[in-house]
Amino acid sequence: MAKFLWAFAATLLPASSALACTVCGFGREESRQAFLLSTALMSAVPVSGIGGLIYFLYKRSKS
Amino acid sequence: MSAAALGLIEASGSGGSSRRKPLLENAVLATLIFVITEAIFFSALVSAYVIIKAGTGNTWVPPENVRLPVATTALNTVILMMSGLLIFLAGRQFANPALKERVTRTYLGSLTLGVFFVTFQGYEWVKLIKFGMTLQSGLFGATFFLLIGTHGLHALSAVIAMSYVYYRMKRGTLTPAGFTAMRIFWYFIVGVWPMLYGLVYF
Repeated sequence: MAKFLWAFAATLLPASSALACTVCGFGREESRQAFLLSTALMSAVPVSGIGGLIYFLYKRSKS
Repeated sequence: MSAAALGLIEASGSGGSSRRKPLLENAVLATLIFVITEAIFFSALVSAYVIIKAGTGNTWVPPENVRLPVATTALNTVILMMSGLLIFLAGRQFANPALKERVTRTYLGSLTLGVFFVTFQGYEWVKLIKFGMTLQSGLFGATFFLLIGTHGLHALSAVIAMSYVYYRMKRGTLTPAGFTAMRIFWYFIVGVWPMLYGLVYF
């Protein structure tokens, strides 16, 4: 178990410097913020749209 | 799975009778689903625009000798907002039997303002193209025409649909569900525009 934990910790150490995403390495703060914004936007819009419609139908069926 | 199991229909009779009415008319539900997919589509376009713009840094400027028509488009934005307001009023009048005779005039006002918006946008784009800003002139032109052009195409299709709804209204064959569906789509066109205008023109 201890060996496993050491191995796991060893894999975490270099993780911060590994840029897995090929387009996130612009090195510009504006780009980082843009990627964050777009991720948030594209995650929120489908969930809120479909969720809102389902909630609206649910409320309508109850009223 | 049936519509009843999904909860899309509700009982209208007492004692669990078989008579049921839908929670929403088919046209309205379909338009709502369509508008949600359109919102997702526009969020993808906006995301692409924001990322491309951020990646270029200080070089994000229109081609030489081209200036975006910020002031005139602001005026056009106000006109589109007024069109949205008028179609909202038309919806209220359509639902009220006492005001039903006014609805055609109010709706025609909304349609006219919508046509003006599309025509004016087209006129501005022709001027921009003449000054050298095209889809091929660079990233700025490509993203501008992609984002604003997509909205323009939607506005044009909505105006065509609104004209058909006006024709049905004049003939007296327009259903409340059809009118509601039309209004939902126009609200989407009107609602998404200020965001696009603020994003692209400033």
